[in-house]
Amino acid sequence: MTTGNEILSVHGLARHFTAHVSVVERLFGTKPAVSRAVDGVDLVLRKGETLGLVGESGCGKSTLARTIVGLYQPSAGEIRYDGKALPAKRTRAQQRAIQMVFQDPYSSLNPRMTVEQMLSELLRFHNLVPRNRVHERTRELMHLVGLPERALGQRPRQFSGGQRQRVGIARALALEPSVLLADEPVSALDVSVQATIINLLAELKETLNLSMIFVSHNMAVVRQVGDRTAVMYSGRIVETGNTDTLFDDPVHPYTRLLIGSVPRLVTVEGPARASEGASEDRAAVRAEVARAVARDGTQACRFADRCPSVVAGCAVEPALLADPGDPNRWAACVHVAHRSEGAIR
Amino acid sequence: MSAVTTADPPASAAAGARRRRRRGRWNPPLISGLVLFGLIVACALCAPLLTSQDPIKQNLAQAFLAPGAPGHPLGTDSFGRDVLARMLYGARTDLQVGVLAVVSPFLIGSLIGLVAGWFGGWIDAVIGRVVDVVIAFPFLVLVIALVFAIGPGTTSIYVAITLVGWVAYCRIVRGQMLVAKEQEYAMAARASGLPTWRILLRHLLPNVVLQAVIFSMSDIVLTLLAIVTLGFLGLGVPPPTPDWGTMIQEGQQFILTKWYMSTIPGLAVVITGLALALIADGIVERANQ
Repeated sequence: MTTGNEILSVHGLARHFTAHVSVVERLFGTKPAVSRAVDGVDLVLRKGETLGLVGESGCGKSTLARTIVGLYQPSAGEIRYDGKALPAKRTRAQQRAIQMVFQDPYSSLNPRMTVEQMLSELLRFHNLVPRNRVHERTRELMHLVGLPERALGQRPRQFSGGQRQRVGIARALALEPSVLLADEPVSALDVSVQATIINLLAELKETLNLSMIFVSHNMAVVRQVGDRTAVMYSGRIVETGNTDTLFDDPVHPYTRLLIGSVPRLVTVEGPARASEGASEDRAAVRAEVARAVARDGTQACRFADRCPSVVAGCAVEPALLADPGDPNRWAACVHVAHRSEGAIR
Repeated sequence: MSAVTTADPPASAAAGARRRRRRGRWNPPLISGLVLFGLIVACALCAPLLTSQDPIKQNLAQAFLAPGAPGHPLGTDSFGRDVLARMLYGARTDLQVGVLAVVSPFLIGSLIGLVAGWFGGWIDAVIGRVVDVVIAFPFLVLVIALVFAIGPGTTSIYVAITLVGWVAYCRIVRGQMLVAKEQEYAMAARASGLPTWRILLRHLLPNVVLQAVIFSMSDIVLTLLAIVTLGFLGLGVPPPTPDWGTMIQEGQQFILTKWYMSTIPGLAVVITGLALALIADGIVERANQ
């Protein structure tokens, strides 16, 4: 999975959350419940590209993004930036290099600070410009994100959702990052405003030479912005590939399900309906998978209990395998190994 | 920047927002509260100008004069001391004790609550247990025990009330903190690489301290009442010093015949409480503008 021009990569990254268990419960032997939000993710971001990260709610996209930014400590694995593994305590320069645009434009801005206070604090703390140029730089940042200069003196409540998101982008850009992580940056916005923010991000990526990870649950948005796309399910990447190939020819059953679930105006007739009669067969296969898991103690494929193409082999979690014909194409599905023989389609 | 990216709809109508803001910043409750409290403070500060009587000098021949008596607009008490003078000088004592006995619990409690809420884990657990222990005892019982241990006097009142009173602020701020630290702006501040103390004091404190400020307003009145109770037990402000609580308590013995002896200082407490409540209201409105 290694190519020369990568700027950021994660290897076997995991982030588990442990439910709180009181001292008394622990004395009685209660084991804390562990939620494996991110569970072994390998991902590469190349210089200058936009990587779309899609998956349903709760699949660990945001946790992954937050772990990469350094808000959470990884439970396992490492994050490499510019060839070097990031330490648990990042230097200021490392912290600046990877910045994030947050999902909720309402809670992501401090209600008691003006835009100028937010930005100038960062510029001063990180010594990014000489002190006497701080104000000038905040004005430049406003121009960069398409806000009027008078916005500097205003507080978040005086802005609309789209304007707030621009402030959030300005805050991330104030630190002059090379990687920008956009965590569902438009999902809280009106549809009419979404496009302007997406365009702004795409434009900034070009002019500032950024590399970007764009997290979204919206397939249409990811298709529009991503050079490459990674599909995440239950804490793992299940398929990655160039956005066009991935959307035109999805390999993993989950990716197909996601693409198939995009609302369309035209009803699609075809093989999807033909599979309905096979639901009893699938139930039987799932029972078989469950028995195999219980017998051998393996970890089944996480998607097995929802997968329309489930087979007995799903009792063993598949590795992320490359497509021999396309170095960008990876998928983790038992069917992929047989793909050249046309077993899945 | 291209035309596409500058096409967001503007926020609300700017003029309306500005008007709302101006009204919110100096709203009626805040103004009236500040004026009322200012008047009380002015009375306390200008006590020597407003009366020529000595609040401590006794004159048993002139005891129990009703309000309106010549030279004594509010009458005299059981020792013949001028009630107006005692009211005015009493305001000095009460405001000083009340405010001072709230400032240090406020500061200490808020800081501890900030730390407990932010760090959580064992720090929060330890602080939480200490708070539980303090709260398990009735406020006054603990204050009385502490004053008794340290010895009567205003200083020991400050110390005792601080040692017991901080828990309320700690709980309030901790609770607010649990909410605030999950907000994305707190994460954004961390993602910006700012140090923890700076995030706590500059980004989170202004957002969580409001409830504590509002509570402190009513806490001043509660503290005044606590001091009254301490006075009743001989642990409060030492006797000849005028204070409203002692005056109320002295008038209590004559409540059936001389109702005004308790009522006049009682009214002063009520008005002070009202002024502080109005200020608290005004602060809320100003913050929510």
